[in-house]
Amino acid sequence: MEADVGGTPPTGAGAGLAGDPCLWVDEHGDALFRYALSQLSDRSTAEDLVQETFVAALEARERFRGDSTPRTWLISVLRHKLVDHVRRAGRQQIAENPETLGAEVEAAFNAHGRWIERPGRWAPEAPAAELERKEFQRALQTCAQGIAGRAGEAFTLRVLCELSSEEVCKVLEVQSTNLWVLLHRARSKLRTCLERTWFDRRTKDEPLC
Amino acid sequence: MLSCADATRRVSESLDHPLPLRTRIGLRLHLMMCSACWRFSKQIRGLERLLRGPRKGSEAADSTEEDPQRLSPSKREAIKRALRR
Ligand SMILES: [Zn+2]
Repeated sequence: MEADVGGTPPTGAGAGLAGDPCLWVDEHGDALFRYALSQLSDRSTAEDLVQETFVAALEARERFRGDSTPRTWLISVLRHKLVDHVRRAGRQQIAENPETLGAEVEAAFNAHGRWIERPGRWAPEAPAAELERKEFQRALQTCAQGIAGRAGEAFTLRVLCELSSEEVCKVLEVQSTNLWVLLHRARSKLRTCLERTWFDRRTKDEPLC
Repeated sequence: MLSCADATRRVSESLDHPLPLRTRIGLRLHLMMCSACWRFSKQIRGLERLLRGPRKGSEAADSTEEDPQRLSPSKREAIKRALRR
């Protein structure tokens, strides 16, 4: 899609976010919802904020410059709404940054960078049986939702909203090296959580490194 | 040789940007010799795939089955109505 920064009036097609806005809902609605849900954990509030985001985006569509993808732009609009909402509700700031997570990841290794508790011998596969698979998906989603702070937000945007790492950097306004640290923490945390809550760790073998 | 702490960090980074060739070779050597980091690598990749994966299919199929990670069909319609106004 060619970004139209020039003087073309925003008459539907031709504006940065072209096409039927209802198609945006099909294309980006779930991604926006997952992000909102990860920050609020209340489904109906999350859905309402997604609606507000689309309405605001429709009104402001001519401001879309095409220097990020439509999804990233929509997510940035939603992020402002989330911040406002959380502030109004008088709760913790979105993206507050408790460094407890970092400590937890670092605790997996000793001072020489060797594993203290080695990853268990399990393959990351969903169970074959339907019922068990649903249970597994729930455990997986619970662990993903449980990643705290900015690391969790970064992981949600990267994996559940399927943004590129460059786009996540834009939304969160962080340097890419910082983003990689956040995502590494998030993945480590997710892995540990699944190992504890789902996969048995009955097998541990001899230390190699 | 690369420490396991560094190796896992690089495994994760390789999912977000292409590593320089030297780094990639060093990492591959480590993973060949270290079963713990090799598992870490397989597991975090697999879990991400599972988190992304099943939704793809259901989106295409647009099943009526309630997916907790998706907008409810009624809200989806409500949003579309609001946008048509
Ligand atoms: Zn290792």
